[in-house]
Order: sequence, then C-alpha cells, then structure tokens
Amino acid sequence: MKTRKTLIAASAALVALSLLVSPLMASAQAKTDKTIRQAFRTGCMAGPLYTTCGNRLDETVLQGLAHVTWKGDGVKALLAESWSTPDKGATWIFKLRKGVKWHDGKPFTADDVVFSYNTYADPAVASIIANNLSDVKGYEEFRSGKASSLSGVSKIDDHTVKFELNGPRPLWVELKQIYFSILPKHILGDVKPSELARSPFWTQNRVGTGPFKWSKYVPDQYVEVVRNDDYFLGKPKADRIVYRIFADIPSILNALAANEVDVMSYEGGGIPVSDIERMQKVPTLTVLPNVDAGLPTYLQFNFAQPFLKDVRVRQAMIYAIDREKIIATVRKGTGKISNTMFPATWAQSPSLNPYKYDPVKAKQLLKEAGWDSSRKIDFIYYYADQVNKDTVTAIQAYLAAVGVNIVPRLLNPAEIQTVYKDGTFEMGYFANGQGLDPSLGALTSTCGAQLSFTYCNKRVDELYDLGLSESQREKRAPYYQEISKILNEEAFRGWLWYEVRPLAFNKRVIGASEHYAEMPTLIFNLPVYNEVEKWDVK
Amino acid sequence: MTTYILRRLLVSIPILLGITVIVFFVASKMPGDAVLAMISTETPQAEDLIKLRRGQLGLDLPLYVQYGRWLWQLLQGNLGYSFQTGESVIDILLARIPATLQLMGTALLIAIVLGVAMGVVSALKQYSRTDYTFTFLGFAGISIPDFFLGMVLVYLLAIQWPLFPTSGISTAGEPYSLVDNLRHLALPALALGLVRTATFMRYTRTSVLEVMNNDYVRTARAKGLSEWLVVVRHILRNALIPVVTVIGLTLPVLFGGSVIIEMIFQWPGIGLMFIGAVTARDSPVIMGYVLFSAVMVQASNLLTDMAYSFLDPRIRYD
Repeated sequence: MKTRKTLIAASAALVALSLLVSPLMASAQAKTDKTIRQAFRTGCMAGPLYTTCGNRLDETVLQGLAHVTWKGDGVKALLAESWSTPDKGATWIFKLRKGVKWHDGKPFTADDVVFSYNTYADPAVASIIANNLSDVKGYEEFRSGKASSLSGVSKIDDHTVKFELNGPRPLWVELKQIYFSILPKHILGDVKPSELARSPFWTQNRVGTGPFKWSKYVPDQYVEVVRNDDYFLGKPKADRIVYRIFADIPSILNALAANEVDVMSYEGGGIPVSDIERMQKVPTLTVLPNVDAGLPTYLQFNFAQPFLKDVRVRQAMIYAIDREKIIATVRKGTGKISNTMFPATWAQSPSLNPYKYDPVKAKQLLKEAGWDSSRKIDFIYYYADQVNKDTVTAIQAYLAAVGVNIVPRLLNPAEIQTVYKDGTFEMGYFANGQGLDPSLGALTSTCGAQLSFTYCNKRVDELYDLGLSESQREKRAPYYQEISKILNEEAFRGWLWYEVRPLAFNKRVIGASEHYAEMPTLIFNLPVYNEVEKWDVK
Repeated sequence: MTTYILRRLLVSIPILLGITVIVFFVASKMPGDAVLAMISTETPQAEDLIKLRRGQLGLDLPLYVQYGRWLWQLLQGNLGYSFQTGESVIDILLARIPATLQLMGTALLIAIVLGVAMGVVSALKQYSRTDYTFTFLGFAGISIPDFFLGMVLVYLLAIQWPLFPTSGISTAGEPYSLVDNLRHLALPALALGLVRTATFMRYTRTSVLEVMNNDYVRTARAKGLSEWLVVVRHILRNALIPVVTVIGLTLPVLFGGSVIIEMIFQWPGIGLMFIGAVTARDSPVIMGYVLFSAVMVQASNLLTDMAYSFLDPRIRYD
C-alpha cells in the first residue's frame, strides 16, 4: 500500500504545481506607500571604507560634509553648513550644521568628523579611498606608523573642524573632501579598526544622517531604507527606497521592462547598445540613450616598448581606424569621438588634431618610422560584452589593413591591476573615468604614474599642478587646454571616443530620469548629491 | 548497515579534505586576488594600500600557511570571514542554503513526478502516438540547456506575457508571502526541472519496458489482478530501482545546474553567492561553497545506496 500512498502524494503535488503556475495567482499587491525601486549591484555592501560602488547608499543614508552635485559644477553643503580658508586652501575651517541628529537620535558633532577622517586614514582599517587624504597634514606619519592619528584634522568646538593640508589646495573641498562619508563615532568608536570591516553596522543598521534611514538588508536580495522625517533639508517625498540587488545587467533590463524596478544603477554598465531599441519600445520607461559616461576609451600604448616610442607609429594607428564608422555600426550610433583625455569641453583645446580616418597617411607615417609589419602586438582588453568584443575585432581589422598586427587577449577583471602593475602587455583597449574633473587625468598621465606606462612629459606635470593652483574654472581652463593639446599631438593614447552609458527609468518615479538627464557625465566612485529627498512617485 | 554507513562516513573525510586541498590551490592560481578585484578598474591605486589590505586579509602569507589557517579554523567549526563583506562564511551559507534547497527540491519534484508519470505512460503505450510525442519531447528536453530554457521562459512568461516576475525570490521590500514566493519560484524551478524530466522519463520508460516482459508480471496478470495493481505493485516497484539511482546521481548535476539558473533568475541561493565569490576572488566563501557541495554529493551518493537496499531487499550491506 506504501506505493499507492506515494502515488497519491505525487498526484497531490502535481495538483499543487498546476495551481502554482496558474495565472490566477498573479495578484499584484496594491502599493499604498510611495516606494522607489532602484537597481543595485552585488558586491557593494561593504560600506564606503571598502567599496566604491556602494556610494549610492551614501547618497541616502550616510553623508559627507559636502557632496558633488549631479551637474558636476560644484558641491552641495550637507553636514557642513559652510567652510572657509584663510590662506588660499592650506587650512580649511568647516562650520558644521547645527541640530543634525543621527538616525538613532544622537546629536551629530565635530567628534564624528574627526573620528571619520581618522578612520579612513588609519592603516589598520586599510580603506581603499585613503589615498584621497594624502594632502592632509600628518597622513604620511599616520600611514607609516610614526603617528597614532591624523594630525591635520582637529576639532575647534562642537560645530567647527579644522583641516590643515600640506600646502595650498584651493580645490580640496571640491575634489578630495567629497569622497568621505561621515561615520557615527558613538557606534563605531569602540570597534577595533582592523575589525571594522566585519562590523554588523554595515549590514544590520547603518546609522547615518541622510534623508533615508536603514531599515532592512536581505542578502543578495535588497536593501530597504525608509524616510527620515527629521531630515535637515526637509522631509523626503518618497516613503522608502528599495535597492534591489542584481548580479548582472540582463536581469536589470528584464526587471525594468516588467515594471519591477524604477531606477537603473550605472555602476557595472548601462543598457547594452543592442538592447536600446527594445527598451525604448517599453511604454513605461524613459530611456536616456546618450548619457555620457565620462569615460574616454582609447588604445593604451605601453611606452616601455621601444617600438611604440615613435610618435609617428602611434599617430598612424589613430589615422588607420575609421572611428566614425565603428560608432555608427558596431556601437549603433552611441559614443562621441574623442581626441584627448578630458571629456569636459571647457578643458579641451579648440585646436585639437581631429585625426580623421586616413589609411594612406597612416601607411606613410608607418613607412617613415620604418615599421616592421611582421610584428605581432600583444593587445589586451577587459570589456567582455559583445559590443566591445566586436569593437576590438573592428580595430584589429583596421590596423591590419595598414600593416599593424595586433593579437587581442581578453583579461579577467581581477587580472587588470596585476597587468597595470607589471606592465606585461604591449597595447590595450582601455577606458578610464575622467568625469569628475580634468585634474583626475594627473593620475594616469604624469611622470611615474602607474597608468602612464613610463610616458613622461615634464610640461604636462607642471600644467596639472598649475591647474590645481586656482579655484576658478576660467583661470584653470588654459592649463588643461594646453595639456589636452599636448596629449593629442603626442598621441599619448590612441584616442577613440567618449563612451556613453544608456540608462532607463520608469516614468512613475519623478526626479530620477530628470536628474540623470542633467548630468554632464556620470560620476563614479563617489557619492553624488541628487536631491533624492525631492524624488517622488506618481 | 550501521557499520557500512560509518565506514562510508569515515572514508568520505579524506575525500573531502582532498577536494578542499585541490580547490584551494587551483583557485589560488586564478589571476588576480581579492584585493585587486575589489578596487575599481578605472582608477589606479596606491601600492601601500594594496599591501595593507593584503596583509589584513592574510593574502601575503605563503599558500600552505593560508590553507593551514583555513583548515585550523574549520576544525574549530569556523569557515572564516568573507573578504568582500566581512560576514562569517557560515552565516553567509546558512542564509542562502534554504533558497537553493527550495529551488532544487521543487525542480526535483517537478522532474520526478512528470518524468516518472510520462515514462510509465510512454512504456505502457509503447509505439503509440503519445509515446512518440513524449519521446520527441524527451529528446528535445535532453538537448536544451537549462539556462537557455530559463531565458526563453523569462522572455515568454515574464516579459511578453507577464504572468510571473522576471527574477528574485520574492517581491523586494514586501513582507514574505507564500503565494508571492511561489510565483517567483515557478520559472526557475521549471527551467531547472523540465530538463531533468526528460532524463527521468527516458530511464523510466526503458526500465518499465524491461520489467513488463518478466514472467512474474505475466503471472500477476494471469491470476486476475487488476491492471492498476499490476502496474503499481509489480511493474513500478521493480522498474523504479534503476530510476532511484539516476535520481541520486542527478543531485550533484542539479546542484551544478542551479548555479547558472540562480544567476539568470537572481535567485539568492548559494549558486549566485558562488559566482559572486569567484568574481571577487573571495576564497573563504569559495571554499565554503566547495565544502558544502562536496558534502552534499557525498551524502546523496550514500543516500542513493541506502535507498537501493530499501527498494530491493536482495541488496544488503554488511
């Protein structure tokens, strides 16, 4: 009889299954509250000390003294009310906002600020953004163990903090301070620095000062934050934000198309160009196909290789590639031709060489340089999506047509830093975030910088320093324009285009697509002030 | 029987250890490491920082020391802490195993129920139109990879005809409800289950056909038993023995298959966790997954052997 019982149980299960797939069960839950559903990438939960992709949470929960605004043209005072410098940027006095409370009701004071900056700089914490504090006095001593704290940051009174830098840095607030979110000393102050990463604070109850309070984190599923009624910039319009965690882009697109999420994340990639049309056909979505990613894409030359030292060889490679055609075909019209490093037009010289497609000229330059067309060039790339793979194939074909033979090699993302460090490659297809400010270029094009790959031009170094000696954009522009011209003429890189990162937003959320449409370039690795408290749900 | 189980358990210890040794050293040969994977590819990083973080995670030690530390922790019942989030690996696993078991269990149920039923019908009505249809579907099912079926299901039943959600285990930010959970479960479980259904169906059909022609079946019919009893008591019970083996052997395959299905459906189980851990070179989590799956496979093999002796009284383990 046992067998019959099994069979009965089995058929009962079958009935249950058929019930399960019945469309009658598809009862959408009525939502009474205003919920913004935002896509969020995996691997971003470790908090601002250890991850840069988690910065979207710093925009709603934790906050800094001042964040860069979405328009990229300045900073918005948040936990600081105002700041001033008596000596052209060598010392900064921050007046903190009064009456701000942490989400658990404790008052926010200067102690939290001093604690936070010390935490980021602490070698035992090993935060990945610590190097942005290298301008602060005492940083080197603290890092090397000669000092037990960051001497350049000190409390004057409960609502005033002083920062002392290693010399005048007129743009320090706009370019460096913006990386740091303030952490609650009353919660984290007792945690051993080396154990900070393991603190349940980051996942269980991230107490901040922002417009939304930490409510819940369900691993690999979502983070929920709810409205902070006491927010100092006014009560947010939305009741809550649910950050749904995704491991890949296709699932985000599906969820957008099926009205399951409202706002896309831009970390890790936007809509692949092959999917833009499909997304544009979804009536509930606003698609922004031309969001500038602030990422110049280029052929990287390893200047340590003697055969790449001749400027004519490098120029020839740019002339050899029909960039307009690649954009129009492989990249379906997305992307903007670039001829130098900086995406911001104010930093570009008006007289850049456009390197128009000219294979004859390319051949001639190569001939003059005595190019050996039997050479095989080790060519690395790390974007594994189809469009970029096709792009590399197109580049390979264009270069082969003038007698330059590259052998593409796809790198795993985890290998990139190793290759950067060892310089074990000859050429590559790279992109590099430059969205925030042209001064970021110094990290990748000055003498001795890792990503310069031994390129060195003293004048460029000098100009980068000059560019940071002024705070007015009009006064800084000539320096960057000169750099842009030098890097363009010397073909420091094989300039290709500025990448776009197409994004889509559900029309039921008011504020998201509007803000992203106003961004001149996307800003990576940083919290951005996006007025989230004013976003609303229809 | 007890001695047999004990012996099997004892033998499995060196096997498990061997697996962890191999995986640990092979995984460490993957290019890059946790620190390099964590920092942004778009900004260069200061050397001292990478060094600091490596030291903090113990990545600067020789490999055998790293393995020794891991093993020592394991003996104390601790699987270490994730390099990525700092959470304890045991907590990470425990939080995700139920989701994977739910998905695998449902998929297996679908596969067994549908597969055995279709196989029996197919065999009893050999060379009928139903048999040919089922055979055709069976071959189609064996040939289609589960991830492809998953994507087709999402396209058809979640986007074109939105009956089910595209991904996830339940609606994010809503309180848990069984109905909601089951709606999310339907597509991934079907994708994972339907492909296995085909295998079970083919095995059941062959096995039933073989048993059907035995003398005792003819005797049972001759003594006037109803057809139902003949099928259930005499044919099925004997025909299912090889099928049980196949089910047991499917468990590890199902386990592997659920990794890719969890990825496609963003199902928050240990498969999705494993992919994230590999990308991030998060070796404590990778090792946790490997150990758990190795234990699962060992256990399912043992259970299969035990089920065997239960179904076939001739088989005895001493």
